[in-house]
Amino acid sequence: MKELTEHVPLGKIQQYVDGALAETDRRAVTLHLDACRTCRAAWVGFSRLDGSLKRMPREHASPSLAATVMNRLNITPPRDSAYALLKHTGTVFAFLVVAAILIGVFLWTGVITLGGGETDPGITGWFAAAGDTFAGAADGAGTLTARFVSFFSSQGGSAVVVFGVAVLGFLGVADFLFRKGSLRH
Amino acid sequence: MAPTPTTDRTVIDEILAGNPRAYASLVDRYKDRALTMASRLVGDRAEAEELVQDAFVRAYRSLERFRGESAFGTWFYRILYNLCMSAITRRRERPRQFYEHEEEALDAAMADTGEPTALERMEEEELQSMISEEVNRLPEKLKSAVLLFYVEGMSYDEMAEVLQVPLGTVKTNLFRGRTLLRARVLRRADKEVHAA
Repeated sequence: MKELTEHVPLGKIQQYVDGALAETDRRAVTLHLDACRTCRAAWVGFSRLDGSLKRMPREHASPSLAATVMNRLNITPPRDSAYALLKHTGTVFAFLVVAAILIGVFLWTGVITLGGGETDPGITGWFAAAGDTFAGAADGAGTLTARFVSFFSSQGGSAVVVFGVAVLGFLGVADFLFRKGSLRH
Repeated sequence: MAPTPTTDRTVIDEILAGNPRAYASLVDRYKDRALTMASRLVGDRAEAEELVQDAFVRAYRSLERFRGESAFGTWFYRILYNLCMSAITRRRERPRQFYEHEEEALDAAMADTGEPTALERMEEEELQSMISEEVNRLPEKLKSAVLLFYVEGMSYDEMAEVLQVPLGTVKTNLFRGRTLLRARVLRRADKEVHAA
């Protein structure tokens, strides 16, 4: 390879590396590079620089960046299926709480009775009978469950209704708090 | 730059049709490259992350005005670039211009076609780290051109749109940036050879 006195300008060598030269220019530079050690060295240098620049390390943004941006824009993210299920369950609980309260109001106002009569066992007659059955099954076992069932049996249906209202009320409140907390995200 | 305008356009149409949540996919698509660019321009990762967030928020709020004449990425990077330049100005650091000795170095580098044997001999890892440092030291205008070309993979036309300068200026800045980089890397490599 001989040394030529006329060299290709560096800008042209860069364009050659970028593949930005027209076909005729590209051919002329290729021929020159074959013949000129100096220009060939410059080409190798720029090619190496080019490769390294392309492989320059990239930053990785925090995975929560999109969520932060969406939050700043007040755009709520879509809920996942677990949330949807819980939300649906919460609605069911809310209906049950309302139903239990209505039953309580009806009982209190005497629209329906707790029963106990021979001809009108009332809605609690069924609970009392069920309680007796459970108490009978657990009789003599001495377990906590048996004593629990026994208590409800002895108190009659009204205790079951009150207990049901308390449980459903608790679940309704828990659901409300859960949803309130979730909406903040 | 990465050829995704059709997909971006589809997402934007979806957003404008009433599904704002689709914007998260655009954020995810551009966030890493945007952070790389902002981080190198302002020289501070935490500040860069704030600027990237601001750019995405601004882009969303102006989305209705985005007419699609250019790719979303080009339009978005123009917002980000302007924010980065404002941040640099706010810090009362004038965007780094060419210093006299750098002009001289550039002139010398351009006149000298060089004997880059040191560059050829350098280990890839060493060269990579040297280039990374030297890119950060480039004056902002040259650095922006180098980053948009190599990190974002933009064409000259796209770069001209982002940087809001004529096409000729883009080519000149990219050429000067690379020439200065090569000169500085060669000088450091030479020093290391002589020190050894």
